[in-house]
Amino acid sequence: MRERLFKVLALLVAPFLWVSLAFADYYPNLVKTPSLVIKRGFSKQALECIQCHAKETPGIVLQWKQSKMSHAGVSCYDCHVVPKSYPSAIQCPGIKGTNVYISPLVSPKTCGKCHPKEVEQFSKSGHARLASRPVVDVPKLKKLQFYFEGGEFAGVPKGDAKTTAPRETGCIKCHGGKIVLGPDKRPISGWPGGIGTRYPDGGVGSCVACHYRHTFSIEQARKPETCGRCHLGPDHPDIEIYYESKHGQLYLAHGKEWRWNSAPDAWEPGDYEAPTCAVCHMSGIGDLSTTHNISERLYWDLMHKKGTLVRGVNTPKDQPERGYGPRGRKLMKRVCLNCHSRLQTDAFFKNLDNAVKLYDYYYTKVNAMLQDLKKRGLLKKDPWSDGFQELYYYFWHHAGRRARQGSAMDGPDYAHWHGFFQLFQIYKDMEAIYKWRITHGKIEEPSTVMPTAPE
Amino acid sequence: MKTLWGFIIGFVVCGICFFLIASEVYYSNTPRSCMSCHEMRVFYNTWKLSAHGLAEKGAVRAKCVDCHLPHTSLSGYLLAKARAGLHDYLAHFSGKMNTPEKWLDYVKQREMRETVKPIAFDSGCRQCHKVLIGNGIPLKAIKAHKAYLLGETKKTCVSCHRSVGHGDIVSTFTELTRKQNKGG
Repeated sequence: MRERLFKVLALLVAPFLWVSLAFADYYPNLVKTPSLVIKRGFSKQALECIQCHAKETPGIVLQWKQSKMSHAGVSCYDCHVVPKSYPSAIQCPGIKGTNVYISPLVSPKTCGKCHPKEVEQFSKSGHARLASRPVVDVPKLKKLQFYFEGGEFAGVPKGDAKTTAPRETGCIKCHGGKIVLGPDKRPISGWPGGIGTRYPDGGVGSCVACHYRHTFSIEQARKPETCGRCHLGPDHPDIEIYYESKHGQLYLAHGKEWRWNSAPDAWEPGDYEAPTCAVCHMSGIGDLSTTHNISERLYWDLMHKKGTLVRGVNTPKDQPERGYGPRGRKLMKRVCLNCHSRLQTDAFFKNLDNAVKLYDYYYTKVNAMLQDLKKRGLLKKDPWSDGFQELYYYFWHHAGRRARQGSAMDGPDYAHWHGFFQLFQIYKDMEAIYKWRITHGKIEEPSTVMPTAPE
Repeated sequence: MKTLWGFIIGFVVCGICFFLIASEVYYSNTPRSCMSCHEMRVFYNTWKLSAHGLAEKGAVRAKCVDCHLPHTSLSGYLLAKARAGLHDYLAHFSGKMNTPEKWLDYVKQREMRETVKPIAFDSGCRQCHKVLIGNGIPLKAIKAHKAYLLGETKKTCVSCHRSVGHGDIVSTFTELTRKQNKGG
């Protein structure tokens, strides 16, 4: 009797359970105001997108309604509707059966329709094609991502989904990768990606890497923490250097009171008390106009191995995005002169040039040792189990950049303790290994290097 | 006397030639003339359905030559017309673009490349679209049109307004290629 009662109850409850589960699946984003009614300023189709997505993805619509885009009458429709032939054109349930197609991916080509100047400047910068170059174009670094970090060397089968984890969760988030579409034209890898993302429509770059969707707030893009999402950590601690600098200290102390939303080219000292990353590298200040080419105001290339790389002078000719050296120095000095005397400005760059040249002195000798060992067959084929080669990597990629970038942006602790102090020690260790190998004519066993990076 | 007759005959011959050429120029300004090559039929049909064709909104119709020839000066117009005419004539008889597949490759390539040689000229668009900021122009267009008018960008009208002439032309040729491959 009891059993039967249970069965009847179960049968009665089942449909309710099914309906509630179905709805739970259908409305995954539950916020307090799931509906939004707008009656002006947008076409009928645009309003349909807004109103449906106010229910389906309310978070996005809430961001959008506070943005300058919504004030200017730009809605979902303007950026996401594409021709049927667009590589990633699909139809969401709301437009099934119509002639309207949308793409969840929005490439800089789309942004460039209304912001052509910004996209053109950006495309000429190191933030575009060159940013994703290590992830997409360099075979050696692809091996690092899949074979080493992806665990193939430790037995994870080649092609296993696990091997893609370091690339998808790490590399592409900042560098950007190449978006791969599945047979249903939806992205299966590379999206959402970082600043150098290569889109299926041929667009290169990602505006939302800095101008976060769907608020596209100029305040947010101007804050140093936005740059700090990628420019941080042991290999380029730029946000840490900034916080340590006098500029960053003033930002930390008074930044909340600064005016962050003045119009481009009109955001000047007075709106802020000290510059952020954006002020020096991009903003219109004094007689300089705003640029989205972040390479434009740079002289040295402080990212690569060799020390004295003047951008556009002795950087690869097929990479014009690296910048224009001497012109870059001139422009950056003009930024400084808005607040500093010429005396202080010139002294600052003199110190930087000396730091770069000192690093280059060390690097040239370290590289000579490496080349000599290579010639004599005293290097292991796998650099990651060879103490000398590991040290070489940390020398230029970590400590070498810290010393140079710390010097370039007033980060004394990074220029010194995390920089030159470590450089001279790594140098001495490398020299010792070098001498041992030359004397004994063989490679030492086991590795003399500690398993983690020297910090 | 001889000179006078020579002058009169020369004048008459020139006049006849002038009228023949003028009538040819006039005739060849019509979409019907462009469509006399079968390669152009797709473009005629897609134009007819587009914003500038016959079917949409009943606004002013723009003919092929209104967009596809430069309207900067009469001599430039006629020169471009002669060049384009000769090019298309040769292309037609050489069979260079005689399948939808070839057209598909061509239009796709144009879509992907950022800077391509224009085949629709801004000087044509601007004959009618004189006002780019102001009454009747949506607020959201201001940013783009301002950059265009200030010469801050090399983009042309159709860089953004891609489908105004022939709709989604890539999609049309994809469909035609699919049909042809199925049939063949």
